[in-house]
Amino acid sequence: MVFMTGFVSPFRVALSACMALVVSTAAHSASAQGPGATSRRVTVVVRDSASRSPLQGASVRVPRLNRVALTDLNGRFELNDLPADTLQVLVGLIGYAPASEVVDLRLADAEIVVPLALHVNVLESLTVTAARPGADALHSERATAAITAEEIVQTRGQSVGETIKQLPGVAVIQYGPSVSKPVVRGLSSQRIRIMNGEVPQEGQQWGAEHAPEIDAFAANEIEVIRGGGTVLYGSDALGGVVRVQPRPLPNAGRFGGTLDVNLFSNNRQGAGSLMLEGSELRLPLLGEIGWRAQGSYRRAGDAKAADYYLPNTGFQEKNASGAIGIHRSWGSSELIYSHFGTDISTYLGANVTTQSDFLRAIQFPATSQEFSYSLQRPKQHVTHDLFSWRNEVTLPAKARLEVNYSYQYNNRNEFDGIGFASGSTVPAFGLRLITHTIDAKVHHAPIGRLSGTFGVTGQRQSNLSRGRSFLIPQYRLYGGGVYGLEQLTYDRWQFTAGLRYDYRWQHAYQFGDPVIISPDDIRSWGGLTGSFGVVYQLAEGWSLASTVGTGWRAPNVSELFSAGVHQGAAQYELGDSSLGRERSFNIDATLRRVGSKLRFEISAYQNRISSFLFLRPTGVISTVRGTYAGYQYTETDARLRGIEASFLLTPVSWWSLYASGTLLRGVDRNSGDPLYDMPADRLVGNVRFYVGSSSHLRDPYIEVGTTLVRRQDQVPPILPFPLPTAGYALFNAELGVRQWLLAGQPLTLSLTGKNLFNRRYRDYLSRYRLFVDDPGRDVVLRLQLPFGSTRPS
Amino acid sequence: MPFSSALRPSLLLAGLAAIITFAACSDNPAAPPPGAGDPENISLVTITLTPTTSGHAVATAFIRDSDGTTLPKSPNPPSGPLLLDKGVTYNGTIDLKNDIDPDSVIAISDEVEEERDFHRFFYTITNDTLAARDSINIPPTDAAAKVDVPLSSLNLDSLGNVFGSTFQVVVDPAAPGGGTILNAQLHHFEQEKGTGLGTTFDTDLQVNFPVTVQ
Repeated sequence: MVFMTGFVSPFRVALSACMALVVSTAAHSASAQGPGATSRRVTVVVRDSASRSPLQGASVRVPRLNRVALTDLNGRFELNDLPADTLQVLVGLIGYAPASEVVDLRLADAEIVVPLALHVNVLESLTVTAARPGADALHSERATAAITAEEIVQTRGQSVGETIKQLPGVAVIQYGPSVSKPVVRGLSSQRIRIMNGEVPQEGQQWGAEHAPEIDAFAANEIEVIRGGGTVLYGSDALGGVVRVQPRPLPNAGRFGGTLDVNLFSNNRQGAGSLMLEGSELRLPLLGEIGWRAQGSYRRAGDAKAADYYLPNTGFQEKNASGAIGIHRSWGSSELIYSHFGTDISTYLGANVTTQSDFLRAIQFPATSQEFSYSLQRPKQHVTHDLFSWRNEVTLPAKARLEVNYSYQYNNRNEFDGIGFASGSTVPAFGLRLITHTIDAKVHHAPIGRLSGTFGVTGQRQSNLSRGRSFLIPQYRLYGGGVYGLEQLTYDRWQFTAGLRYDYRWQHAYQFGDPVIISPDDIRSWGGLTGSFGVVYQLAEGWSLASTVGTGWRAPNVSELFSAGVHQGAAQYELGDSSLGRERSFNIDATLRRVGSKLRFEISAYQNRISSFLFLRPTGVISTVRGTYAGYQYTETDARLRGIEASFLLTPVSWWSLYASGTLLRGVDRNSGDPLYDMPADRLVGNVRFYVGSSSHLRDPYIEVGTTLVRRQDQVPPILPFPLPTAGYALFNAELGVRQWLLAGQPLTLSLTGKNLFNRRYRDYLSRYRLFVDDPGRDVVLRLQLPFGSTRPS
Repeated sequence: MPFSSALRPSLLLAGLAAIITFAACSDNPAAPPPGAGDPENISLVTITLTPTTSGHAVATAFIRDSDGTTLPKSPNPPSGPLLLDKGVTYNGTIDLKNDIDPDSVIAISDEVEEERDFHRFFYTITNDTLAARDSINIPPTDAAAKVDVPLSSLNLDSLGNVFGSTFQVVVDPAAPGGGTILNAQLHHFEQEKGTGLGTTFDTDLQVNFPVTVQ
């Protein structure tokens, strides 16, 4: 536990050191002639920009050398054995905006002071793998990188959504283990923005059973920005932003990689990832480039509830990615390509359409006593290809220009188990979404105490239908935005103000079916997003922050034009083309304590959304097939209020205690009823003990924890979906070791037992909760084996 | 590397332009989607009852759902009652069509026939319309109606299990004249249906035809 400096959490979803956000920033190098032979030293001192007091536990990273460390009590950190060259240093700490500095070591050792300004947004960061586990062990007085390694083995779930679901203020809508949609402060799908390596992820995010198409193994850091009005991320981020960051591209001349293996007992899942990287690839014209190749595979069978298997809930995922990049004195340029591909079977018993089938599925839920890996219909086959090109140019006086382009091809195919042509190879629903995004922004040179960013962004999107059935119309969309964000630091105060204007034009094409009445429709929307935030440093280690913001989103095509049965919900859903845009007004306040033994954060917020779009029951619709429950998209005024708190106590080096809680109430202000789909109140607590280290075992630990979820009775009085769910308590335990030297090979290992007592429970946000229990006990083995230069020295 | 330095900005720009130009093709949403339209719609259900003995008329009736099973318009009422004679046994067939597009009529019956190992028809006689419509289970046959569809008369699938695209209707000589309803359902099973009495299925069809015994 001596390594657990400051506030770096040992826990799965604890408040943890916020790794610097900038991935592909400029690393000055003298014409890229390679590092000099002389050994240099840099001393970094990290201070609070307002109070000037030293900040402990800040992460200091030299991306080019893949070295990372944390600052000590005096906010200091020394890095030795550095090349006589210019080096970029990234500094980050949770609650603070990340900073980037360039040090010049060509002539002598250097000492730099890096001021960090408090971040206004409530920022919860989760480092899933961070740089290299133990990469800096020799050079660091603290085994800081190993903390990162620890978090790798503890956090990674079966999906990106599952990886973040225990963060305060975050929940997931779950369709079995394979489909997890993040819910931030009660909002999800089209109301939150998911950024995948600075690219706004564009899938068919309006669908509750459409999970983010991102490889959980490729996520290096995941951040959740709670609350709306985030001007950097565009109009759809009413609830917040989930930022998934890949690893920074290696920039120093070695070859290495990692092998990850994850095994899950519950659905007998095996998952593995192999990553290789280096920076000595020499190409004509470009010279030496950094590169990375990664591939992962996972295969899971039926999930098991406490008493039975959930038939047809297996999935399979095959992902690959590659990146190359150059970092030169003028800036950097990176090309990244990733492919995500998954086949997901959906639970047999929820594939119902008519009311009588729905009621029967509740009365006679499909369960099985036999496990199977087979992927039967109904199922989804989804691929997502992302190509992005990221460029950064260093301008005079510390200003920077970033220009990013991305192309995404999302191909979603859903195959019915039912319907006459269920054997057909043509999917029931097939949608292809093609998105181009371009984003240019300038981080201007500081003007006195003022720093900031201005940007423009543009988007072109096409939606193509390739299935047998109508779901949403084909459309073309153009969008654009301009934004600016400025920050002023004065004494104990820090002010941030941002403003953004977005415009969106959409042409939905008439559907070519004799019975579908989806019209040819052209419309456009424009609107402002704005935020203003203040941070006040109350006293040493204490701060108070508040943000007010407003944001909006255009109704999506499903809300405007959908017409059809939502299978699994037994709902007949009708769009309403007269619906307008949603607008949110949110305010929040956060009190933080950042101390060496105690760290906590408590936030309260209110988010009011006018023209909040939701499905309202409209009565029974009858056909020759039977009757459906009819629902129509309609609007109301919604209000969401909540409190989130998290707390980490590290009284002595060998144990620590973490707790967090989330409370949320959403109300339809017109009817006074609770909003549908709000997560239940919950408390999470963990205690971790470190037992003795040895030369082969570094920081073996034992952790026990619990998740307590209150009965969800805040449900609208509309049958049948929003029935209350009972509260439940789950217990977890974990055994792990930060680093185990086995015949000279370091590896990181953990064994986690989730829902240890195999409790039967149904979470309110589980879409199978009306039919079957959530998964029972799961024992998870996670192993990471770094090698080559990625191996800790 | 002065050579590449000079080239870099123009390379970046040219590359960007090339990518945008290249990738902007072949994503035209104005083109009609291939294979669109839902062939799974049933818009016309016809029951035909042919007497097994001579001297009696063929009874037939249909129900039209003008926008099919996946759109909200309610089906039209049945074309009329099935007119049956007392003491006569009829050979029955059920025919399902998607004729929403008159230029492209799809024989849904043929598709069901192809997947007969995953489907089963149910026929029950009742005089309680509501029970027939929304019951979770198959409504029990009302013995008082004295009209029967014997289970043994239903045809079989390729595995020897009951399928039921053909059936018989047996009218008792003492059958009452009115108030009788023939309820026809088609259940679609996710996996091979066996007896067809399992609970994991989806309802493809659920219709009521009035029966008049004369």
